[in-house]
Amino acid sequence: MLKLHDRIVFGGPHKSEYQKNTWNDIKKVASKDGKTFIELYQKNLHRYIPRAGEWSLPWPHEIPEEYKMPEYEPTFKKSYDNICNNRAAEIAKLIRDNDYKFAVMWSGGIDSTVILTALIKNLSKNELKNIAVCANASSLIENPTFFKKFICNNFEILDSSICRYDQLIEKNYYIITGELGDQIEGPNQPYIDTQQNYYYYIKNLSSTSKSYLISIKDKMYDSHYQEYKDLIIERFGEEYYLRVEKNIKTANVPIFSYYDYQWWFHFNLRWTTSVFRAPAQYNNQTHCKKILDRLIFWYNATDYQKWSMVNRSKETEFRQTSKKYIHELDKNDWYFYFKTKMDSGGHLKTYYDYSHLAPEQHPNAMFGMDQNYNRLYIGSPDVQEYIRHYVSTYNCDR
Amino acid sequence: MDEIAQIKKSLNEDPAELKNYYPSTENKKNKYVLFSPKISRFILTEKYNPFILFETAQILSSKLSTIVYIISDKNNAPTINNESCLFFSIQHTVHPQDPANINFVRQIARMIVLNTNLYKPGYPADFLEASKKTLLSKLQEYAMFCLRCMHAINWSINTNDPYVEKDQHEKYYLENFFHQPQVKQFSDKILNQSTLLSTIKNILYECESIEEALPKIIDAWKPHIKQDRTNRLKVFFDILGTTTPKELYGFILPLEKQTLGEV
Repeated sequence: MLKLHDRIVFGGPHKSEYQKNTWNDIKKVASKDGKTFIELYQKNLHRYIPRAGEWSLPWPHEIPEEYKMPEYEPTFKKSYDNICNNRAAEIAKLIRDNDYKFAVMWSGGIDSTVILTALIKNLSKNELKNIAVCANASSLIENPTFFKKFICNNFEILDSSICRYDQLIEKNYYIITGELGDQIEGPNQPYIDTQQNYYYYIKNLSSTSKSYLISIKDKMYDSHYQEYKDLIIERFGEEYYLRVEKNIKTANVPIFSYYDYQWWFHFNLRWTTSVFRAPAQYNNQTHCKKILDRLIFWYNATDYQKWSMVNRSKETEFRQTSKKYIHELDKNDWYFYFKTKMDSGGHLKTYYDYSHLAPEQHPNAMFGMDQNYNRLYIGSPDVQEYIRHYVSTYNCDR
Repeated sequence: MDEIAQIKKSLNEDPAELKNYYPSTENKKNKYVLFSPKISRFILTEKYNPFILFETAQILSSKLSTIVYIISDKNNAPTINNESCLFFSIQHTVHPQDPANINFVRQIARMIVLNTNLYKPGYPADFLEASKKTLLSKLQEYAMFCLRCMHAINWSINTNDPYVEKDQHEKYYLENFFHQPQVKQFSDKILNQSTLLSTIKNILYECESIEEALPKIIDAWKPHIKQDRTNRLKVFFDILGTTTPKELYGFILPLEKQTLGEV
C-alpha cells in the first residue's frame, strides 16, 4: 500500500498502452505548471532520479545508500586494470570464505566481457569452478572468438534466454551483471546515436546553426557542450537541455564537453534506472529485495565511479580502456580495433515471456518501486491517488 | 605457399573466370559496398552479386559489425573501389528508428538500400599510424579473400553435378522445404553433418588471415574430391585466383573408378 509520504526509488508513469488512462488523468489534474510536467512526461524526464545536483520531481524520492554517488576526487589515481582486478579479488574471497556460486550474465558485449576477463585473470582454477556463464545465442554471435577460446569447455553455461533472475537465485547463484558499465565508461547510446545520425538531427535547423554544427561535428569530445545547444534541443527538447544544465551547475563534478554532458546524464540521472529496471521487470514476481540481495552490479563500486569521474579521456570515448583490458587476455586485435559499442538491453528483453502475468502486473503496467523495493502498479488505487496528488500540486522549479 | 602469393596478387582484379558467371558486368560500377560503423568507412566493394557480399558480411561478423549497402542509381555516388573505399563514409540521415540506423547493427549482418550521400572524409584518422594501417590492410585483404571464397564455393557447388555434393543439396532441401518433425526419421544424419560449404564458411568465420585459412580450406576439400569428375576444384581455385594446389591431385579418384552417386 503506497502512502503519500512514501518515497520512490525507481519509476514514474510511462507512455505504454497499459498506462494510457493515467496519462489522460495526468492531463486533467496537472496544475498550472502542469504543462511543464507534461513536457517532462513526454520526454520521460520524470523517471530519472538524481544522485547529485538539482533535478525537481513531483514525488518524494530517494537513492538507496549503496547506489549513492561517491565524492568527486580529482586526484584519484587507481588504474582501470587495478580496479577490475580488485573487484575480481572480492569475488574470489567470497568463493574462498563462503563457497558462493556466481552466474555471470554475459551478452558478449564489452562490459560483460570485462567481468569474465577479470575473473579469468585473477581467480584460481579451483575458484573458477564456482563461476557459471549465463549467455544465449546472441552472446555467442556477438563475440565468438572469446566464447571459443575462454568460455566453451571451461565454464558451466546457462541459457540466459530461459533463466530469469529468480530462477538463478533458486539454483543458489549470486548473479553478476555488467549493467552500469555504460555509465562508467562511455560512449552511451544517445552519444553514439547523436554521432551516427548527426546529419539527421540537424537537418531542420537554420542554415547558420547547421553549418556551425557541421564544423564541430568531430569535436564532441573537445568542444563545450553549450556549443551543441541547438542540436541538444532539437534532439531532446529545451526542457531537457535546461534541466540538465541546471543539474550540472548545481553538482560538484566538472562537466565540459558534449561527451561529458552525455556521460553525466547517465552517470548521475540514469544510474538507479539501470539498477532497478531488471529486478523490477525480469522475474516472476519475486520480491525485488530478494533479487537485489543476490544481484552484484560489477560496476557499482566506489573505485569504478571515482575513476569514471576523472577519466573521460579521448580513450574512454570509444571504450578503449575496457577493450585494452580484454585485449591483454585475448590478444584479439579485431575485437580491440573494430568492435563497436552497441546497446544490449533491448535485445535481451525480447527473451522474457510475460504471458503468465496478469495484464495489471505486466512490466509496462508498473509505476515503479518504493523505498522498500515493493513493485507499484499503475492500476492500484493507492498509486493512482499518489500520482494525482503529486502531479496536481507539482510546482516545477527548473 | 605459392597459392597464397597468387591469391594476394590477384585480389585487386576480378578473375576472368568470375566474369563468365556474370555476363554484361564489364563496365558495371561497384554498387554493393560493405560498411564498418566502427571506423565509419567502407571496407569492401562488389559489383556482381549482393547476396554473395551479404554472406561475406556474415562471415566477417565474427570480427566486426558491418552493413551491406546497395548504392541505388538515385544516389549519384562517386565510383569507389577496394582501394578508394577506405576514404569514403556516409552522411547518415535516416530516421533514428529506421532499420537502416547503424545504431541497431550488432554482429548480425544486414543489407539495406543506401538512402543517403557518400562523402570523402579521407583515410580513417585512427588508423594513420603504420602498425594500425597494416592492421586495416590485413582486414581488407581478408575481407576480399572471403568474398572471393564465397563466389568460388557457390559457383563450384551449384554449377556442377548435384550428385557430387549430394549431402550439401539434400541438407538444403530438408532445411528449407520440409517441416522438420515430418522428416525427422531420415533428416538427423543429413542435418547434423558438415558439408563442404558449411565447413569452408566455418573456417573463414574462425580464421583471421589468408595464411591461416587457405591450408584449412585445402584440407576441407580432401574428403570431398573423391569423385571430382566435374571440375569443381578448378572452378573453385580459378575464381579464388590461383591454380589447383598439387597436394589435392592425389585425392581425386581416377575417372575409371568413379561411379554415379556414391563411390
